[in-house]
Amino acid sequence: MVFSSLNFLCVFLPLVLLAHYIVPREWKNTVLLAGSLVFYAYGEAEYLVLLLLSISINYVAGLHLAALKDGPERRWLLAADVILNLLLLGYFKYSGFLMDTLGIRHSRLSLPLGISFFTFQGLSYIIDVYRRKTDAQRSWTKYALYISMFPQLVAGPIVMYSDIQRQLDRRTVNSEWFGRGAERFIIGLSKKVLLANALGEAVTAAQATPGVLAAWLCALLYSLQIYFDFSGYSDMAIGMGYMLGFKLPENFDHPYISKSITEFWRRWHMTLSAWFRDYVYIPLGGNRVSAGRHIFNLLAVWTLTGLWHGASWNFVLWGMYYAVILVCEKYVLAGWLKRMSSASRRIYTLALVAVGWVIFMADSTGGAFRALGALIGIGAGGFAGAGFVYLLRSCIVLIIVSIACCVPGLYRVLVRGSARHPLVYCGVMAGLFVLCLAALVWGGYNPFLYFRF
Amino acid sequence: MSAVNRKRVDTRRYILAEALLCVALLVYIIVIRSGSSALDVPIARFEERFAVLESGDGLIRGDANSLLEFFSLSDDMYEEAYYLYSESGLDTRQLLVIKCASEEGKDAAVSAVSAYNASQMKVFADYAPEQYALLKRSVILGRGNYCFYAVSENAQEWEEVFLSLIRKG
Repeated sequence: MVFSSLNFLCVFLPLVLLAHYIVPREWKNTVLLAGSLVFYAYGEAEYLVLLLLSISINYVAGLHLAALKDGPERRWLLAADVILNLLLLGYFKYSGFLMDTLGIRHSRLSLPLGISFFTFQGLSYIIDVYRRKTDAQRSWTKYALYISMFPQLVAGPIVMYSDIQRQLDRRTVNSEWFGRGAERFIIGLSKKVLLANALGEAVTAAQATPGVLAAWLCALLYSLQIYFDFSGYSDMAIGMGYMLGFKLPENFDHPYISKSITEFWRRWHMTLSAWFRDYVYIPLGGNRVSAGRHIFNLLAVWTLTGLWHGASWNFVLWGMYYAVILVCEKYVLAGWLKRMSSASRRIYTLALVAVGWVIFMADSTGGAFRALGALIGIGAGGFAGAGFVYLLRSCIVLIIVSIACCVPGLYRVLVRGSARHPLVYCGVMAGLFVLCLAALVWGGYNPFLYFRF
Repeated sequence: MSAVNRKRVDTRRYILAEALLCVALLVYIIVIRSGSSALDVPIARFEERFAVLESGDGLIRGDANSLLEFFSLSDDMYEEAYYLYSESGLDTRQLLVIKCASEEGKDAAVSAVSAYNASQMKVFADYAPEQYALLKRSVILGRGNYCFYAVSENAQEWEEVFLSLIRKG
């Protein structure tokens, strides 16, 4: 059940919100947990047991870690739990990839929904308990809710336990937060249904059009699609968090206005970047080490980031592509970038990001190289192949609207408008919601791109 | 009980709980693994078991062209297939068993079949509620390298037959 489905919007969400509002305070967590487990089971019932076992193992490990004094026993327990979590993730997500690489015939398991997200949240919790950054949660229901809360369960944002620890005990559920949440949810839904889905169709058309220009247009369209798809999902998750009394962390901050790749990764999937920074990059030594070691740290973190996105060599390639650029920006291009104008820096960043998405969207390394080749005219079928002008004409309005929605200006206008003309603003939001429902009734299946991670 | 003893008891309890949960996880993985794999059964075996449907239920045999036409499945996407469907355009009953070369092929077949079923549901939603109900209760399964699709009042029974043929052990 995806957020942008009629089942979710018209049945599941209203029922859960209603139940959450009417039950007494001490039952809210239980109701929300039950709703979240139903949500998960609706998508992948056979893996509900896996989710519950993963939750229970980390819950007990947290209590155990909190009960032990500092010393080798505690360190071993942490190591064992981290290894167990990684083995679980590795088994379900990467064993097929490993077998393929080694040329061993095997039967592949389907990927459990949200396994990368709930494993990372579980890991962050036990590491934080080990570091005594946070207390262990004594209530299984509260811990299970932290991991499985349906707005963030299958595609993030990756929430640190300390972010919502207090809200699990006591949270604000009032009309102001509900209104703020509903507004954010509708913005996210509109991004997904009105922009990302339309862009997805344009991407399919662009992939079938030969020529270098079509290849670049396809890269641009996919860059926009994945942004609206994933940031739309995050907006919906954050919005539902507000409606339920939780303040979930932001995941995007207008990444396409970045003036360098370093800045881009501070604005794109911020919770994943923060996770890798806190639990991999800094423990490896971060940037307070020799240049050689720093380069190794970046390569390690970005290879893992690539692998996190998918068990395939093109994701590894994608991660290493960013590692190389980040190393270059740090050690080679820093002075050159400073001398460039803001506009040229933005073009430089966007071009590199678009090339990155070409690697990302491919279904194999071979496919990635073919798509990269097409960008420079190798096997592209000419410069401006047949159909390019028609393709451009058919999606130019969509591109212009999408670019306008990528920059902060439109949101500033929305915020100002909501303060000056609240009734008109409410009408606009209601109109967008109705438009989205109409598009969903009219359209077909529209899965989120990030669900496969 | 002193605080130190209580802590020791707590720690033992945690170790026991962790051990039990790990065993449960292992058992779960074994069950999931065995449930998702399948025996290597030739399509002829399915034909033998389902042959009665061709005479008794009035379903006719489809070929590679039918699979391409209805499911957009070209013959390089699977090794063998067994397809029965009703000649009448107003009758959605059908049975399909596809054997693919790999699990990736099976996943692609399952996606194609799911897309076909969804499109059929749209077609029948407004004017043939009983056919729509059949499509809604259809069975789409992927096991090992096999894809199974059944639309019928007896879809559950057909599913049992399919599973009994490919089940290991």
